Amino acid sequence: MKKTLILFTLLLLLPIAAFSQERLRSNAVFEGRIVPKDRLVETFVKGDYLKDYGLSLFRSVRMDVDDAELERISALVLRDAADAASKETEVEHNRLRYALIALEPDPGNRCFLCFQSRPSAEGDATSVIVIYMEGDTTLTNLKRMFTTK
Amino acid sequence: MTQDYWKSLIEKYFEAETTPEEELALREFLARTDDPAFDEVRAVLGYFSAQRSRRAARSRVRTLTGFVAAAACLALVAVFGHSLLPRPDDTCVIYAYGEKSTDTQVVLDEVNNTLTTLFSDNQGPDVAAQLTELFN
Repeated sequence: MKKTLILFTLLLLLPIAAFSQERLRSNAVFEGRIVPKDRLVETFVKGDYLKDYGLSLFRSVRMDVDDAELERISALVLRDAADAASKETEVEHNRLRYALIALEPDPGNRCFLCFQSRPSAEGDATSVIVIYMEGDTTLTNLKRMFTTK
Repeated sequence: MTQDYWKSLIEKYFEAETTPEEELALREFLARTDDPAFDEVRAVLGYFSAQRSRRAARSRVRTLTGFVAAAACLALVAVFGHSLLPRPDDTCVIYAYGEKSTDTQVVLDEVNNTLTTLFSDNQGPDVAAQLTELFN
């Protein structure tokens, strides 16, 4: 009976977990509604491939954007950051340069939204990376892992 | 019943002419009698009984061993097979400018490069240049 209840609860929570990214304003960027998909590099990894990083889901988009697109993407990310459990952002020349946002503080169900912009190698455009991650790690752990590489 | 009756029944037994009821009665008699006249027969029948029970025991052990071995194999397949094979919900894909690739190495390199670029104080490897090279 106890096992049935636990299973039933997990089944109820499954759609919530599966659609946790959809509630984000930044999801529009991943869906290609700000910058068309043929200008994006989109990465989607889920499951055991990410176990070394303590993640269960990784989704990123990378693109070159103009000023108007950068402004729209930055606004969406900052809107999501407003509801975050913790965040670290940097604005440079009135432009969002990076944002590291922890959306869910609960261990085992942590969600992260990250943003970075930097001048593109090509012309006046700006290179932008937006990442959404889920897993049982922290941004501090990831930072440690990837800055020491 | 007299000794002659049991001796005639034993004769019938070895001629394979006894009924199941007679065989059962004979076994019960041989089990309880101490008469030395039946020692030889008792030894023969006892030997066969012992052999039968040993065979039955061995067969039971063999059946049990087989069952345990099969269960152990299934458990190993379940544990190691599950961990070695990708799960159905595992996904690893990249869409670079509308072009799809499921090459695990390419995708995981992109994950590494993206996170390195994001977290590193120094600018990481030029991911755009690497992917342009890969897909063109």
